[in-house]
Amino acid sequence: MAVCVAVIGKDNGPMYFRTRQSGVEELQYHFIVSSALDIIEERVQSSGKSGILPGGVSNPGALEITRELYLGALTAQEEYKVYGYMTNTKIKFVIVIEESSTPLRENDIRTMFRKLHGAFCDLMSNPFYSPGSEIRSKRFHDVVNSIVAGQ
Amino acid sequence: MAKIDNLAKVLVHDTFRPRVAVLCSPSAQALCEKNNLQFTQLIQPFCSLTTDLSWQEPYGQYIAPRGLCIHPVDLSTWKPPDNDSQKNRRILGNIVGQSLPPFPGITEDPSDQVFQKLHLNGRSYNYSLQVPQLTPWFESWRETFLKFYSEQQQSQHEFLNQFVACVLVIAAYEIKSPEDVSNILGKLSKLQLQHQQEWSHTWFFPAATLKFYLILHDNANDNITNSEGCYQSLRTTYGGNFCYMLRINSAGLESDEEIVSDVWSPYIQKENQIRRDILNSETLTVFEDIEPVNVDEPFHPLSPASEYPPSIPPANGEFSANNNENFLIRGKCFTQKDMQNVQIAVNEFIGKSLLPYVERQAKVMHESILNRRGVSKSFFSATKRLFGTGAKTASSIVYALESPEMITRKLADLYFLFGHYDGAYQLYHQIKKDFQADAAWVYYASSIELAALSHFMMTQSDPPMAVTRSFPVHYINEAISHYNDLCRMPEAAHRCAIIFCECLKHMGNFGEAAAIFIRMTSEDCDLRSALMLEQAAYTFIKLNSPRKYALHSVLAGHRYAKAGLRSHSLNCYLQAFQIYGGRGWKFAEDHVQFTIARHQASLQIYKGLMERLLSLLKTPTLQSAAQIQMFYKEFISAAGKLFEVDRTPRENVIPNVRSSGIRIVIASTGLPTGEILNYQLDPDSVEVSHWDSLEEQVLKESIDPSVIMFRPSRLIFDARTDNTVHPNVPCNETFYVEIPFYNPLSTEVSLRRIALKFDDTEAVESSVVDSMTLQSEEIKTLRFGASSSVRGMISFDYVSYELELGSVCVPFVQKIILKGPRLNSTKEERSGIVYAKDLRNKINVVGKMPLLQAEVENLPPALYHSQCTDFNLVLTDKTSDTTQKLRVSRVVLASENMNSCLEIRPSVASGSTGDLVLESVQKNYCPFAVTFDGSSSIRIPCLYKVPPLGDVATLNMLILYEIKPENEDPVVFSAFGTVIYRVIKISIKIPLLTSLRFDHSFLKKADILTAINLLRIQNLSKGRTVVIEGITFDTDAITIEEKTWQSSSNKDYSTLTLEPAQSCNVIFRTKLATNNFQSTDNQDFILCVDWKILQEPLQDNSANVSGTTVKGFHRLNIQRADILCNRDQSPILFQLRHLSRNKHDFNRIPCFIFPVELEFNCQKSGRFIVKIENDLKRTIEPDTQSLHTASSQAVYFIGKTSWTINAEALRSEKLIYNVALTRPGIYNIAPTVSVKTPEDGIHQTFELHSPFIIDQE
Repeated sequence: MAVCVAVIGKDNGPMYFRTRQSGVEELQYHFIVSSALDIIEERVQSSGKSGILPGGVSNPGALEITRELYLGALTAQEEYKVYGYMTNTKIKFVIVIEESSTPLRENDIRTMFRKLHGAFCDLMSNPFYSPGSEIRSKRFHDVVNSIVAGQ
Repeated sequence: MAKIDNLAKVLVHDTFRPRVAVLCSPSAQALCEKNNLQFTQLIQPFCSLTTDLSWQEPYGQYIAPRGLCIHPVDLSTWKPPDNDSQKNRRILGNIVGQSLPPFPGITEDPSDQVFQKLHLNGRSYNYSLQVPQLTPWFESWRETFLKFYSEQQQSQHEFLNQFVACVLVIAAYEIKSPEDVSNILGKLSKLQLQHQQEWSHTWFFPAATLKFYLILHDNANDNITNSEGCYQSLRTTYGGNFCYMLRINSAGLESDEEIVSDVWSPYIQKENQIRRDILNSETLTVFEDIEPVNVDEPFHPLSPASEYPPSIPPANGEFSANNNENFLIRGKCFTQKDMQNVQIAVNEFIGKSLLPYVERQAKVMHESILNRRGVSKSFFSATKRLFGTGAKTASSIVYALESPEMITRKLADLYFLFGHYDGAYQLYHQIKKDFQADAAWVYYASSIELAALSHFMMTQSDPPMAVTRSFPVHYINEAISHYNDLCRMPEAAHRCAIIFCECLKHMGNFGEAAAIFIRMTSEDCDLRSALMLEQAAYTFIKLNSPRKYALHSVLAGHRYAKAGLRSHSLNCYLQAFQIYGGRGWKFAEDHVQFTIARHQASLQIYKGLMERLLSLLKTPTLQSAAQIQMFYKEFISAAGKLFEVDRTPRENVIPNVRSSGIRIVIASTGLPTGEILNYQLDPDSVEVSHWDSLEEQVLKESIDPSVIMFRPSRLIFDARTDNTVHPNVPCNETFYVEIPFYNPLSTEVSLRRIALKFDDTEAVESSVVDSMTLQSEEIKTLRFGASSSVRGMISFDYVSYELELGSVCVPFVQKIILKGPRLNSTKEERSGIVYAKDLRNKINVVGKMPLLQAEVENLPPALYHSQCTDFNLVLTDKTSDTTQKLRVSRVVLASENMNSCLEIRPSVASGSTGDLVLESVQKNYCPFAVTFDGSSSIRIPCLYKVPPLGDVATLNMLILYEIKPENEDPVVFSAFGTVIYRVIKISIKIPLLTSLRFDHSFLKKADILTAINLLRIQNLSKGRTVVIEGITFDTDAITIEEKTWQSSSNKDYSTLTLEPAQSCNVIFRTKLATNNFQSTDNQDFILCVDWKILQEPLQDNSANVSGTTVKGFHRLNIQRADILCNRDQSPILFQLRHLSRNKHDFNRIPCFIFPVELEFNCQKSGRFIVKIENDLKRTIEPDTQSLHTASSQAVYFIGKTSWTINAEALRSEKLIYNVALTRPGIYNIAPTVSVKTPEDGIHQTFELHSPFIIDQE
């Protein structure tokens, strides 16, 4: 099951950080998510390099649109697998999955991210939320809860 | 870019310089020492080749070694390489430690010279960074490291650091005859030879060392012809190309002498620094078994020690050395010309003898390689290939110096040193295969390292050579891993890495450079790892990856700290903080902040330290309690140190002063200061309007009807009151300030000497709370008392206190920030954020005034529903200064709807008690005229009627006291203009208990004055026994004549005991006093029930312990009409008296006759005619089986049935008539009575009713 869900803002600072159990564990997940960001950066960079259009003309705009948001498995450690997702506005979602639990299919992970993205869009639609600030929305929290609970 | 170009190239040039040994005769040395320089030092600034010279390599190509620079080494001070790595490590550490880094954000002047301001684009976010432009500590470390490495290198796999030639220096003046020349030179040559034999591997060509003879001519003293003669004889002996006469020390001879700038110092300082470090490290390690090497006394057998003026004083250690150094004027005998001469001499040496020598040697070696290649190669490599295991182990192969591989290598090194990089590359490339085949890994690694380096130098040469292949990065990695893993030569790996990182950076390959830097970190050496990580971090900036930069900065900082270099560690953490700070990575940020703070504290850099530590404590953090405790400890200790430095208390936010919760209490006396237990909000602020309206009413009705603008008196100022007005406090009167303190930490905080800081410390006297301890997340409120002796405005803006932790006690201040509610009435206020003024902490001290204190006396702590209780309201004059001319003249006691709850007791109400006169009683208030005598107290006895419901009763009393000038002094009076009064607000909350319930009902009247009443008493209290002690009326107008209470058990008639939940009926007869009967007073009677409640004793074994007894009373209102007859409707009252039941044998005597007494009562006197009539209809039918039924029974009145009476008012007249009954049954034996009053002719008929039962006997 998902043990940690993090939303990382444009400036690579966490906007939302949720672990299955708060407290002691959190530091460890900070490490994991933080290192995952480097990988996200590399992934995005490399996908940018390969995204040269036929004819040798690089078109970053077009690239951004067609880029796959789901970044796949970032790292796999003994106990965890880390998956990443980056929205077009450079908001990164990181989900850490516990390895010992029943294996999840790629599709399940994608669904999780889609759900998270949906909740994030809803959050951004809230006029009282100032973008980039820490997320305190109860609704968003509930969605994350459901992801962590594996529903 | 030009700068960077230089850096890499210069580094390579500096590292790989042809070494030239120098041997000086003592006299020559003495000549140099006139300038306070050794000969090697003298020529050091001029070692570079300044002219375009070239040499011919064996294939005939001309090589111009640009930037060739020789490295002169004084053989007399040369010592065998010292392999004490511990010592070297310490020296390197010192060298790094001596060059301190700047601190971004702390260094005072972050000018562009120190910092480079960078804007990194972290993909989508711009980081702005301050990065040190130069890292001199790294550079000096690198230089020293390379120097050490070149000196210590003992292995024979490379020749780069061997002496290429030897320069023998003699002074012209010591040569008096040609024999002297050969003598002296012979001695020097012997020395050289000795050295060469002893340390043969330090010489490039031990067989044919180039010797160059240099005569020093002292222009000031020497005879030029003598010197010329010497020179000429040398020329003839050794050949013109190997001799040179150098003229120096010409200062003072020519008039137009120029001042020579000191070009030597930079070289010598560096040298001395290292030397000093060696000295220091030696003094530190005396006990270790190291042969002490005294650098000050070079072991030179020819030179007496006294001839060497010590450049460093031997004993006095570092500081004197330093001073001495600064006072030495170097080159004082030098002119510009002399310097040119030195340069020319060096050029002559290089051009005329060194390069041709190199050319010759290269040719010889080249030929020998060509000749011998085929043989050895097939011989050696074939066997290797056949028998060699090929396994990569640290090989022990040592090649003979004459082996072709070694000669090739030597030639390659020669090429490399003298700028023939192309040739060097070819040769390195060629032999690396041989070495690889032989599994001679050291040789292999070294040759590929240099191959790569040659390649780099080829690309950097000017003009660039055409290079076919791209830079072989894999060579470097391979070399490093071979050095490290197979050869166990980490230092060689480090040299390789250091040099190549510079090259890679120059070539723009930052990623590779960073990777190599990181690779160079290891467990064993913190300093090196730290430097490498730091360089890697800076390299990551170039790669535009701020996060990696920050991470490696932290790692570097950690290693620096382990190596004991706090400043460098601090710099690294500060670098990292620029990335981590404020980005939301709380753990990382806290860690970095905390480490920075620790370093700052230990380095005593206090700028921003407190802010840093506070930010750790301020934010709601996720850290564990232990962590927070550590932060707090550090904070206190740092603050303690800081306080020792500048003795001013710092601002702090721990514990938080909850400014909004500050409460000012004025016009109160005797409140305890210090910690407030059971802190409650005062009801005053809750029900402001209630008090205000009451005050206004009293003021307008009783004190000063002329008041138009009513402004309520404020005794309390807190968050809920209107604080736009200043609190007014009379002079010398204590007011109280209550301040809540909140401890946000998860650790305990102890405070000491907490006090308010007033702006006017002279006039204000305020209390100090000695100590307080706040548990985790606890709020405690402290009360301070203060008074001012001077009129005017005083304010407190700070709270001062000391925080105590262990033995450390540090003073702090905390600002009190007050703001009123946010305003929202005007457009500006709505669109902006505007707060109302809050003047709570700005107190207006006004003139002196009397002060009354009101206390409640004798009020029980708990009350019962509907109970009444007596208490005294005690007014005390607390006026501090009795000499003033103002007196309290009137007191008004007010309470909302006072009648229902409060009553002034009759003792006062009835009259005066000297100094207290009740004026009148109004609905809501009652004024008294009072006279206070000194500090006397006045008691107002009151009765409090407890409400019948609820859990808590609130007794609110507003006391206004009017102040008049003594003797009605008009002057004083007019100063105030209007009536002055002050206010006391008392609000007491008393818990209520259920107790007794009383139901009173009127049964019947016995006569006009007496009545029978029923009182039902229920004990509703929980588990308590109630004893009714007496039932009385509070007035003489009515008395209780007789009472019975139906109690099953109690035989004692004086009291009645009611167990819990028991009830009881009391029947009592009241008799009205005759004189009260006529009273027109409509007041109801008040029945007092005295009781005591036995509080259950505690569940205890000792039965003797009796519970406490609470005595009290209830008051019941009994309506007067219930007891008195209605005078208008019923002036006459009848009462029948007869037997209630009887038995009679009707069979024997058929008629039963008995007398009935009819009492006649009348309110008025007069004559009445009374007639009784028998109304048969009103006979009661017997309805039970036990009685004989009869269809027609009758009651017969026998005898007199009509009377004429002269009745007196309120007296009973007895009229007797007889009743005759014929059957058993129930009868109404009362008659219908008609009364006539003959005077006014009123005729009244009364139907009476009285049952009578008669049975058959």
